[in-house]
Amino acid sequence: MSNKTMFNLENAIKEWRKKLKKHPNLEPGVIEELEMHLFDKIDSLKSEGLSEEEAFKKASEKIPGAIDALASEFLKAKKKPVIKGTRVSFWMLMPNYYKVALRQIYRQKGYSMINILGLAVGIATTILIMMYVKHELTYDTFHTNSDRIYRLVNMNPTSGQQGIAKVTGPWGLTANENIPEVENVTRFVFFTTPLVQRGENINYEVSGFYADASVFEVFGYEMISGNPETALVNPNSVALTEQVADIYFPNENPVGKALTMNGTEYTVTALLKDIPANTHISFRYLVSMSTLNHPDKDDWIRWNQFYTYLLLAEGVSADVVADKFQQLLPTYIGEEAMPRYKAGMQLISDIHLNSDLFREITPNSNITYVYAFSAIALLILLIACVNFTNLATAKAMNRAREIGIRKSAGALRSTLRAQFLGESIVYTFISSVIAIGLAIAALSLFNQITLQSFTISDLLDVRLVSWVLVLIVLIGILSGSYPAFLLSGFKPIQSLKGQIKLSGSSTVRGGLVIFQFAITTGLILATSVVIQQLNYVQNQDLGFDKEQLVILRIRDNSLREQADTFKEELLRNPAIINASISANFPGGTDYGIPSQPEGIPEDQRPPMRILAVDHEFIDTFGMEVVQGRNFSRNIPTDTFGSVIINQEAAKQLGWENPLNHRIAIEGIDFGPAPVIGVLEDFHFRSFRETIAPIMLFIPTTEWYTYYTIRISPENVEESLAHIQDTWEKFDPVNPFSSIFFDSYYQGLYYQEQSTQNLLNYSTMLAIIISAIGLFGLASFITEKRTKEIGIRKVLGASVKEVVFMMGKQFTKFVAISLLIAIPVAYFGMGKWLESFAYKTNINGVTILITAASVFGIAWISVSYQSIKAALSNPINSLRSE
Amino acid sequence: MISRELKAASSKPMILSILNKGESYGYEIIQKIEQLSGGEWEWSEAMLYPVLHRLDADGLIQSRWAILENRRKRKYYSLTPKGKEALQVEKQRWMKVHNALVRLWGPSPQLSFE
Repeated sequence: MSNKTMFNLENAIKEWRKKLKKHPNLEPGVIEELEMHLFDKIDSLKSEGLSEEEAFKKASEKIPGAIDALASEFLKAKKKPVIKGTRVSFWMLMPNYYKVALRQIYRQKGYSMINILGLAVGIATTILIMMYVKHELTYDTFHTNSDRIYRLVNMNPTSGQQGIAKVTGPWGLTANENIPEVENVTRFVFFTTPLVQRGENINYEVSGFYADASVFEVFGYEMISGNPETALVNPNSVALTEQVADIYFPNENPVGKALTMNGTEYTVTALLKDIPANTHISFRYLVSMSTLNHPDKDDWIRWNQFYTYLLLAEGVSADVVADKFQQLLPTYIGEEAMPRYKAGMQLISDIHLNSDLFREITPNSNITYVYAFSAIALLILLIACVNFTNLATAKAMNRAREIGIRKSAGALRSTLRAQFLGESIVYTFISSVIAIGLAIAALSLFNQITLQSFTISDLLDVRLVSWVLVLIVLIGILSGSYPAFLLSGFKPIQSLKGQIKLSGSSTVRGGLVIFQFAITTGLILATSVVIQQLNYVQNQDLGFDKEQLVILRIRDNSLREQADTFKEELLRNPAIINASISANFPGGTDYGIPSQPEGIPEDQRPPMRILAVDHEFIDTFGMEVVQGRNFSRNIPTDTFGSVIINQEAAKQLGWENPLNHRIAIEGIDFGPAPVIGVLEDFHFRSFRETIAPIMLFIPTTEWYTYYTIRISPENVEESLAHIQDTWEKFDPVNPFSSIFFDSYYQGLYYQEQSTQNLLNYSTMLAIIISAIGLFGLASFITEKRTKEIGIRKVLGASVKEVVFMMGKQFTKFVAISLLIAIPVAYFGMGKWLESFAYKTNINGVTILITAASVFGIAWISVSYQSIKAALSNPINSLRSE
Repeated sequence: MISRELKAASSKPMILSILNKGESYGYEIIQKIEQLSGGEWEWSEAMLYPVLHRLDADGLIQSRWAILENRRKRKYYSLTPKGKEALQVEKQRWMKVHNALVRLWGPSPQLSFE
């Protein structure tokens, strides 16, 4: 027996077990198993004669070896199943991907917010613009026979511009009768704004037309009540749209009831649904053509006031019909007149975007605008995508470790690519949902900008929505592929060690920044040019003074016959400066009657615009007579016996000294009358039109249609009140209504205004999104260089020096993008300006301002982050890991 | 003394065959092998237990815990059907080798090499 303390087997085993537990990599149950083995062995050794202590020692000798062998076996076993067993599929990890994507967003709320919001704004803008483009592209496609309806026009340039949209009455009817390919015809003539009355309800109603009875058959307008075949057959029938019916027949069916227009009783024969907005003929009511009683309505030459639409049979070529009609013409108008006429056919859905003839119903739009807006939408979207890509790539560093772990755990590169692409799609999806909300919220603002009236159902149209969905997926893939490709390529060991180098990617990222800035620069330049041109146009010397001119439309003959007295009454008030009565005014309509200047052969006659005026016209408008004299009351032969022409007319007539040359207007038995004066050129219509040759004469009083009154700029209210009082004295029946000339003139520029507005806002958006993107990028890059900044500060660099250093790099980018963008924009805008007869030019100042603003944006974005970094305590920057 | 490689190669058929005769546990298996070799082969714990666990992981043998009267636990192993099949395969392999060698060594004491 030994003298040591009593050997306790239990305690020894306990100690042994404790030691074992510390060993890593032991499967559960191994300790118990070996413990039992120990006991068995100890028993066996004891039976061989060893003491308990000796037995324990011997038995536990070999155990450690076994432990190690077991541990390594366990490790080996752990690695095997990954290769042999199931591959972790993309779909199995989907929940994990969602979690990770959302966690990423949450962790970097600031940057994620920037990214998502930027993308959302870009998508919202694209949706709105696409809605607008769709609207423009689908004009006149809703008619039942849209693909077979053609407008018959006179494509002869001598009639004005490239042709004139109106023809005389017999054109359409003859084409229908004599050309078998023409199935039907319908014509429209402006119905001069009447005074409409029912009971106590009296208003002027605009937008009415005379229309042939065939109009419903040809166009298929939706009729709520009434018979389409008979509605407009009888004279004095009128078809009302809902909006007019609601005024005079609220809550009742107007069909069969009476309505008074200009004192005559009409029968309402049909109720129509309101006409959709996307058509070039927009009307509120139609009067039967049989009501029209103009003496020249069946004349082949004199009264070209008919908008004529032919319905062709299926499969017929429009050119064939045009040719056939051209061959018919000489029979009816004689060979001598032929040089002035050339029949042309315009497909109805082409008119809105491609037709710019003389006397369109309303000024049309242009396909180039559609291209421009589509391009802008695309550009804005691209900027947003570029932002996204830039930011995602810059954040790559932060994900390096995650990528390393995933790869070590067996993720394939394709799986990782799919994961990051999926994340990008999640981002895009969230942005899109926000975008739809933004688009809906911004709809009324958009309407104000584009001068349209879109509704939410326009926005959520099915085709549009499906395009948007396609867009979302495309954006997700587009913006996500580069980062996905980049991130999935990280080597696992290096990423775990934090040694990722992003060398190749900084050139791509740089390229993307340049791209963003180039687009922004281009947009800024384009907008400046548009603004410049529009201002130029507004402020150009019109050749007359358009301020403070009030225009009245004559409703009652008394105002024609008592013109002189009326004018005298008006002038009693000192605030009234001048008053003139005329049949036309600048910017309005004119007479398309042929004139005959003496000594000029017919085929060389310029298309003279004829204005029927009075003695006060030239003074009231503030025009200038540069040769000869004005009309004078003291010379009786001036009335209906003299002519004043403008400088352009003199030029086109080839008369160096036009005075005393004579001009006649045979159609109205006028002249030949001598030219008594030459007027300085003025812009008769939009600046898009070149100045036309104009002649003025004084007609007989029944011609007169308008008063133009110049009032003093002070006491405008008072002047208007006086005019109204005087009106009511002479015409107590018709309600007084007036319009200011300059607001009317403004309306001529509706299309340009709409374009300018849209361009402005798009540019602002592009700038904002660009700036946001750049800001985010600058933040990230600056963050990466916090340590560097900290060190520089410690070494003595000032805040200014640090900011400068950061800014230098971006300056390079901006310089490159300017070099790219400015020439492109210059060229593009040059082309746009060509569509104006009178244009401004793109000068150096504009370009300089553009360049300066782009630099400004870059520097502001970068400075904020750099200053923040530079001002922070270097200790914190250096300490952070 | 049997070489290490031969010991390792024979471990699988050895254990499967022993377990084929009936359920057993680690210490008992070591004892049996000693008996079979007449005391010549002493298998260490480091040799046996890893192989046991490998065979268990491959599904050739299965285990159960038995609780003894003194509240100690003992792990018993037995063959699975898959293990039985594997045993047959091992048997065939081993016999192939054995037969080839026996043919070579033949009745004649001289070995002839061509």
